[in-house]
Amino acid sequence: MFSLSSLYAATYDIILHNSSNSVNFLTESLSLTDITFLDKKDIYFNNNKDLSFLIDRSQKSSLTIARVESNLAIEQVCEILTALPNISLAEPNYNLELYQESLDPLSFKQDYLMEGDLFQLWSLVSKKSVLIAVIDTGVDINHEDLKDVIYSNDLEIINGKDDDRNGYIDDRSGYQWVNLLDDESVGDSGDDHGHGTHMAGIIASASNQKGIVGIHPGATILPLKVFDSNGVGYQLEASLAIRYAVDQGVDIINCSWGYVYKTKVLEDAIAYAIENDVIVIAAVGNGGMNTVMYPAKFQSVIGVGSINRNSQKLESFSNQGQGLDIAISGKNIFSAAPGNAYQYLTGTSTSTAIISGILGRIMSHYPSLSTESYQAILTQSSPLVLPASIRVPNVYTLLDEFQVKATVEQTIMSYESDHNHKSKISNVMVAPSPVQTQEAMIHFIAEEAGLAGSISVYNLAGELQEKQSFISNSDRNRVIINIANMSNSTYIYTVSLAEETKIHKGKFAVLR
Amino acid sequence: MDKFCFSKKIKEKFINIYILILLSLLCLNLSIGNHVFAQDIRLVAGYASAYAITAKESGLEGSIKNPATSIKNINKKILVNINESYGMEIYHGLLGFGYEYIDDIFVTALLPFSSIADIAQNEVINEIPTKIGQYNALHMYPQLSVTKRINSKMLIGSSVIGIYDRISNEVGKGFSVDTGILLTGEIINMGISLQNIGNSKFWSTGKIDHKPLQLNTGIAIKPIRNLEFLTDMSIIKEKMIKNIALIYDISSYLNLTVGVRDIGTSNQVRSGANMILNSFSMHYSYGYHMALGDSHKLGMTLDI
Repeated sequence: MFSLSSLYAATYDIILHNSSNSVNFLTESLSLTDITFLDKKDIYFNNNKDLSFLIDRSQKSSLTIARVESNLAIEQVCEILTALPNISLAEPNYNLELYQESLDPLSFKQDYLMEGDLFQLWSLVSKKSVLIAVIDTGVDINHEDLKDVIYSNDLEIINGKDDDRNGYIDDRSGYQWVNLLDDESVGDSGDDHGHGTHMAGIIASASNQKGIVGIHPGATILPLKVFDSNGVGYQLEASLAIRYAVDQGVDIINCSWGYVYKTKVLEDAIAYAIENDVIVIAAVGNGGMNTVMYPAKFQSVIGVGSINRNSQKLESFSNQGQGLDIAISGKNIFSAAPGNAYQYLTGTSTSTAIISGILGRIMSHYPSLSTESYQAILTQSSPLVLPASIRVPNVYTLLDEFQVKATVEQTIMSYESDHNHKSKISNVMVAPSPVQTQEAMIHFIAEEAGLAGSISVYNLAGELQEKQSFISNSDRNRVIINIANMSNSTYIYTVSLAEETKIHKGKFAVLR
Repeated sequence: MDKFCFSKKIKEKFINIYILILLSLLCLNLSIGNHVFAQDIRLVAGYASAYAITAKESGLEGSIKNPATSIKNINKKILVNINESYGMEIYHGLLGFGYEYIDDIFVTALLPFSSIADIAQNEVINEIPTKIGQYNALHMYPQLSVTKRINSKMLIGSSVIGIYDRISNEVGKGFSVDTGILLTGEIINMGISLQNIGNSKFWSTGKIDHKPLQLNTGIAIKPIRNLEFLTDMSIIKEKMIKNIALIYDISSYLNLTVGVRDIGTSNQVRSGANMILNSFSMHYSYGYHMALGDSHKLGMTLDI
């Protein structure tokens, strides 16, 4: 019923505490002169967790959240409601405020975080650690804002030896390829220039109440040095660094550099990265030219330019042309510098690092997407800025797109998992091979413990020689097969899980 | 009349002796070794027939299982089978030549071989399995078989087989003998063979391998002109391998084959087709292994 008083009425959400054992103490028939009940919801909970199984629903404590309309003040409404039978207390449902802000003292200088609402990325929950290779002048791994985000190869000790036998000496915190011909080349990836530390700082500076904060402080940085103290570097060194990064399992490679000409070795290294589902992000180059530098110009690489948000145009220093996929701020970007210092830098290098940080953050929150999806959404779904016709990322738009894509791909992955398209075991091999004893040892890595499976050994005609079941441990597994009755010859083995249709097969010889 | 009766009695005795030999061999305790070696991987027509060929009158491939059966269209023929198995760089081949001497003695020379490339050489280093290289393997078993027709219903045959195996840099050499009988009838053939007699292989590592004796018994039934049913059984110590196959002659130029090898164990389904022309034959076979995957094989026989 419309009344004059309703013109001045306000809507309040009131919490009503029940004082009786009756759950539905607030009946539909309840009507008050100055208060109109619009909606309500009963909230149930147990007061005693340990005895919850003894308590039936009618005996549970209950609250009711009621939405009321009244032209009285909220305090008066609560007083009236508290006086009602069965209500021990009525109180306003006050709103809360998040007291969350960056406490890093110099973060106010990071203007670029406000553009495109990049700081909103910090609200994303990290579900996966993301490893980002910064191929550059090295990184100051002792910097107060970076020391906690630097990759650590725990199998390597700084002792002048290749402890983990991966072909690289002392690659504990990255590696360096400067002076490649120098036999003394070891894994010192420190920064004697400053550019690489700046890029790493933009991407992943820790949120630690010191200095600045990176776009994705949860990322891990793999420093790979290919430029010397004068900023001189070469494509071969960079290509080797790309391949090393891929082999270390990075998710993103940040290339804040380039050149107008390409080498095949660089092209092959980029192809190697793409084949292994690694995203490569590269700067289109400075100079304001109408040509994009390599590797940004490669179709499979995300080429990043710099844009001025105010003028909606590319910065004068930013190259453009085929290969420019996306642009973001790149002028006066504040970030880390060697020796616990900070500095401003300008250039498409910094824009590239910003994009690497954005993508790293999104990858950590939506870890299930394919590489193609990350790349396509970032470069094709970002809003188009006119009249420059350049795509510039907006966090809200991107997150919506990624949310939709993540839902779709998760559905597909669940379907594929149900149909056993991806195996939970890998690295299957017989070692030693040839087998010179009475037992063959079959090794494999299992994604999880408790997987039931079997190993079969066949002769060349496919006739079963031995079969053995196993229950997996997580990570490395070794199953011993008794082959005492098998003579010197070549055999085929299969390893399969009960829950999968995929069969891993290989060959080995018995030679005693 | 008496002469006829006498010759009939001799034939009956012969048949009784063969049946006695057959039963005796079935009852043999084959206790040498404990290995199963299959020879059909290098065959094409025999592979399509699920290797149920102990009692089948065969071409050049037949003497691989029963030296008494290689009697059909072998004279001055060359056989070439080269195939890859299971998509694993395992190559099998069979080269053969046949010669028939006055419809009475049949001679076949065969060279079955298998070449296995790029086997991973692995070591365990610091408890981590590591590939340190690769090696190859080669297995060759040159064989000379002679089949003698005793009468219109019986053939006997024997094979002498050389053995050459090379795995990585180590070599194993040896020899072996097979022997067999084929009894032929209008509708039913019976065959029996004993393989790996005296089989020994001496390795450069010092090891000596002995293949166990393998007894094959089988029957081939031809209830109608263009249909043949094959079944046989191999006994290798405690192990028994049973095979069945059906061959349907669409015409005198083309037949289709389907069979199951190793019934009850690996149940390998086989099928194939043989196209037979005057001076040229083409053979195709397909095998499906539940664990190891598909095998497609092609082979040909040429007149010289």
